[in-house]
Amino acid sequence: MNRKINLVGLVFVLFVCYGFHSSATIDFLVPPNWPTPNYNFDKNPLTKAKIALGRHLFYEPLLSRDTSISCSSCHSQYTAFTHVDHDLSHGIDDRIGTRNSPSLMNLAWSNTFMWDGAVNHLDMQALAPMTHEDEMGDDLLNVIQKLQASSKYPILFAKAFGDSIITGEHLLKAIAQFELILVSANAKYDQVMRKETTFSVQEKSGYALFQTHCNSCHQEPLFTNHQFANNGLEIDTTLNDKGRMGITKEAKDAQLFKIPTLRNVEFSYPYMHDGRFEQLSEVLNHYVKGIHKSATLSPLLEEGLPLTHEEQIDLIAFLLTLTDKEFLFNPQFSFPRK
Amino acid sequence: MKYWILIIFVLLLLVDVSGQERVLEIEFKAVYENAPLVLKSEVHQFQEKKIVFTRLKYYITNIELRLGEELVWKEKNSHHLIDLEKIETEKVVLDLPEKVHYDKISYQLGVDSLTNVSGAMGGDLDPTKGMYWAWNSGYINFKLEGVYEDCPTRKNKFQFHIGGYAGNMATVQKIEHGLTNERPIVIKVDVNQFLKELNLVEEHSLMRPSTKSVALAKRAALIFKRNDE
Ligand code: HEC
Ligand code: HEC
Repeated sequence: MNRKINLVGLVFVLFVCYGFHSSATIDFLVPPNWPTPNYNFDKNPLTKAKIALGRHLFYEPLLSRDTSISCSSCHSQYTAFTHVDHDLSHGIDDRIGTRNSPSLMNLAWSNTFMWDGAVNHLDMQALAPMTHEDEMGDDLLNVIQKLQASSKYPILFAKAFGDSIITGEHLLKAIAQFELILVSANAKYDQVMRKETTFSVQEKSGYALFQTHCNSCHQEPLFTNHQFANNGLEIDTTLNDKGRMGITKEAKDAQLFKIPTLRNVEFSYPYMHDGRFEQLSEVLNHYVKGIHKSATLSPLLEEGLPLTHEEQIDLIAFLLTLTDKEFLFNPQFSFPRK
Repeated sequence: MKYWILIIFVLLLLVDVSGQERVLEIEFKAVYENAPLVLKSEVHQFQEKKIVFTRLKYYITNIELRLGEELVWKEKNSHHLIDLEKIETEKVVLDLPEKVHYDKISYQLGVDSLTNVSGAMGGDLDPTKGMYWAWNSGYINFKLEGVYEDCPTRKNKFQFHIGGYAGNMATVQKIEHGLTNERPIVIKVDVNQFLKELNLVEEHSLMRPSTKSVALAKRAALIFKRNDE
């Protein structure tokens, strides 16, 4: 009798623990002194099961037409979730997209996505690679049918959403949850800000230069102000990418691109929307003497930035303090092994 | 004896309620001129050439009832995708509370801007419904596709995907009808009226937000008419 009660009790406790682990809402932790996230977590509360599902999906080649590539093919963890071996990201059938894949981190603070801000919400971003022929070349219903037919996904969706029937909404929300937890906030820079360590003399000098010349666009602590700007890149006539203007159709937005974060910039090469620069030194060289004048060039860059060779070296030393090894090698973000 | 009084009382109540039914049905009937619009199988005439329609889908949202100018009822989560390929979607059934008196109905053609920026949604708003633009976020409010003999396109196809929610490219339209006692409320959607002023030889493909979309959205709103309007 007693034993029976204990057994029931145990099952109950296990049940509660299970419930706690997989479907209880997880609070999204905002690093100290960071702004409030832009993402509305009330509409998509984080749970362990949804994040786990999102992680599986992020690494899932079934999301592409020929099951050859997954999100991680173009957004690899060890390079801050960007693609490194080609300036323009390869898609299926080896078609080449027209843009460089951006690094993925701290997405909860972004308000627009893609280099031109074409996507207005993180949830909706994953539709683009699943439906654009230059990338994964598959349509959403097809993807869902494949996932539904697999042995793994109906179970994972049931755990996450209480429903094994896969919908577009659930698919997108799960992927978004995994992306939301990709928070990078433990670089040397962050440790210095938290007074756990100090900058070297060179890094300190670089930080001062950064605050003078770069911070108005690549604003701390996210290293972007989430605006669009023309930073003086000469237009590549083989691509003729007009950036933000393609979306708004307004001349004032010609060649404006989203200001990217500089966190983990050591690993997010090649740089710029079209991946034209391989090295940080080339990027600085551009800001110092490569600025191309045009009607929409940011007034901040009109004269080019007056940085001496030594200053450029110091600035790079500072940029390297934005590397967050914990983020790059966090096992929770890597390929999910069973 | 007392029971009889009770029963009569209940009957009276019923009569009162039936005077103002609690379920209101709205039927959206796609037509081409005066004939029902049949997708794919039926050949219609447009400017003396053959035209066949293959798709008609649109969002009806934010349904409200008014008495005079006063708002008396509005539907919660009011998003309906009407899809001519799925006849069951042509009828929208509203569950009204008791005793709402109204003489006007209004709704929007298209999805409002707040919904457009609120992330992934389910039901009729699920992106699997094929009414969402992946590469320029936003819902497609109204979709009309078909084949026209003189279209200089691949397989003579024309396609109008009308949407856009931001700033001066907003395409959502408000539509209002006065009501009589006719039930269900039948709303005719005459596609010919939409195409009438277009030159399909030159204007045959519209797939993203633009000022042209705004103009066509306004025209699309005008083709929704109550039976005797
Ligand atoms: C073929 C390579 C490729 C694949 C596969 C791919 N992406 Fe991307 N991703 C890109 C490129 C290129 C961009 C930038 C596109 C643009 O600006 O137009 C991008 C942009 C993004 C962004 C916007 C980041 C920002 O800050 O603006 C997110 C988020 C993203 N991808 C997530 C994903 C997810 C999730 C998947 C899988 C469903 C995925 N990507 C699959 C190449 C890829
Ligand atoms: C006027 C705003 C502005 C200023 C000031 C500015 N940038 Fe940028 N930066 C941008 C924009 C916009 C881009 C993306 C441009 C593109 O790809 O077309 C960018 C891109 C970059 C990139 C490439 C990142 C990547 O992942 O591709 C680096 C690195 C960079 N900036 C460093 C700096 C440094 C260092 C400074 C100061 C010396 C600086 N920027 C000043 C606007 C600015």
